Amino acid sequence: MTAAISCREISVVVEKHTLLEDVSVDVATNEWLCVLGPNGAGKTTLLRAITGALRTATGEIALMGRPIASMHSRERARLVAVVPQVPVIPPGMEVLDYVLLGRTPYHGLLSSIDGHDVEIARDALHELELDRFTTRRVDSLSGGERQRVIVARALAQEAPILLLDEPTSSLDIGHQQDVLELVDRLRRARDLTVVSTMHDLTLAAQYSDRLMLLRDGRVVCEGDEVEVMTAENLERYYGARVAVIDGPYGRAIVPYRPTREEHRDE
Amino acid sequence: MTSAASTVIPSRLRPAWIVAAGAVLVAAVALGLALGPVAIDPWRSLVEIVGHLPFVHVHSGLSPQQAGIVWELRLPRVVLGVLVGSMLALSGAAYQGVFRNPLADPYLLGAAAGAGLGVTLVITSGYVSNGGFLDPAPLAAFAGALSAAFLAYAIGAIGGRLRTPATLLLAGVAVMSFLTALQTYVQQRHADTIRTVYDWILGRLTTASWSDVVLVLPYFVVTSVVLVTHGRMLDALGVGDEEAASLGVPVRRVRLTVVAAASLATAAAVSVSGLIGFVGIIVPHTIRLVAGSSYRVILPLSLVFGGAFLALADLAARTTLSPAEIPIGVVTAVVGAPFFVVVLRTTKGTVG
Repeated sequence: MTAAISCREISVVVEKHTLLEDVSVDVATNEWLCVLGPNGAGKTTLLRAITGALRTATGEIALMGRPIASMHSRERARLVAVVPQVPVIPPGMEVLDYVLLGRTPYHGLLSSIDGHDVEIARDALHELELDRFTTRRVDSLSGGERQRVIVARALAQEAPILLLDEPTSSLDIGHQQDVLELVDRLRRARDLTVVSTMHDLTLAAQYSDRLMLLRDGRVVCEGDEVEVMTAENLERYYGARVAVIDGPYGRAIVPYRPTREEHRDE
Repeated sequence: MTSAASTVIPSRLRPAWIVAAGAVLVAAVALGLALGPVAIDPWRSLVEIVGHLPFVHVHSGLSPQQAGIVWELRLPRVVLGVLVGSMLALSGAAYQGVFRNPLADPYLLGAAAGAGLGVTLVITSGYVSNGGFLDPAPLAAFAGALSAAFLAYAIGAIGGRLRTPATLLLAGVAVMSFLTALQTYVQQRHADTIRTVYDWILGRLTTASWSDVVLVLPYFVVTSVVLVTHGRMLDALGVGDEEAASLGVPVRRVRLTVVAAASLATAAAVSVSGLIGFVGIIVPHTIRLVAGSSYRVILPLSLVFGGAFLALADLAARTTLSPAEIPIGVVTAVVGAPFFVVVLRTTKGTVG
């Protein structure tokens, strides 16, 4: 079976800096891949390469078996929807209009938003329990509500692949769980393929099917939590001191402070 | 159970707005025809014009002399004012959308100054307008306007992530000053044409004739169609270039097309009427405040209200100190400059 996303030895070079080097990864249909790595490892770059926002210097990316280089922007947008880490909210735009932006790839210059599009947008809002926000201005919503509105826009895009860049970074722990539960529910209900970047390792392990660890633009480790989230890996690639605790809810990562002796040694 | 949300409809051009815009435009035209040194009944003036349409047989009851004033003197001036106002307001709205900057305006971006330099070069070269489709004045104005808009954008983009709405504006002002300096230099070097250039710069609806209308009409039609059909694309551009691209918007092509069309509209307006500022900011902003922020609404309404606005501004220009005339650019600046301060205050920090 063709993978939903297939990256073959891709490299991305921006202004002579190599941001990704020789990255190969396949994501199966309906799988959730979580991309981990310290700041600057190339997680966001990978997502941007998949959407075509960044051109690959070498290698090839295919979506649903078709190379993205040969696709028009509208075709690509019908396959991949993105929830960016820091979305730009147009001032004054209402929620329904914002979600309808997700219908852009289905229209050319001369066709306009019709009843079918509005129905899809309303379904997306309903699915995310946002009905009562329909006429609110997006810029007046709280962080958690706004995040769901952005997910609604991505759903209205009806793309089989959903990319999420740090979907939890600006949310409190309760809202983090809400968003991730929501994505998981949508993934199952709509057969979505999900790729997300995450900083919270424990949550990443709980929600994704597979983890991939990037460091300096290269894949250093890939597999399930037991393979990827080891104390050695986290020390080596994040420079972090952590204890790995396996409990009834999965693998938890607990950071710890150096002891007095270690301080003295340094 | 039907939820409240199912009755909500997305932003679009509501029929009430189209009717209101049409009514304001007709009223502005009627006033423009009726008022002046010879007062003529507004209703009869409208009937007189309708009577000129093919297959329509109505009689306005105006004397041949009055009919002549309406048809030969006032109507071309009013129509030209409407076309110029429409193009300036529409290109202002389009620049605001494509640069995601509520302060963008054909005048402040330097596009009008670029067009002005183009026209000055044509006038000083001794060319006399033939009023034809390939008149060099609009073409030179277009080249000037397009270069100025891209130059302002390029300079404004130097700041990278630090740029604010004001950065583009500052770049535009720099471009405008530079081009105006060049224009003044060229103007001073050609003493024989200085009077022509000067009259034209301050806005020249005074000498409007049907040949001016014929000159701008093709530009008006083409640029209006192109810009009004890009409303949804401009709404999508509101989420930034990268997100817009992820929504399937061909960002570069849209930006190029819209800037080119807006600059062409500016150039056509400037080449027949001189430099008239602030229309591109006053009209789209007022519409944004009352009718919402979607460019699917702002663009078509700017087209109509822009025309009405300039027709009324021209009316003020020629009746306030009658029989003397105030240059129309002075009238729009007197209204526009304070308005601009209000816009500046309300948009602070709301755009990126």
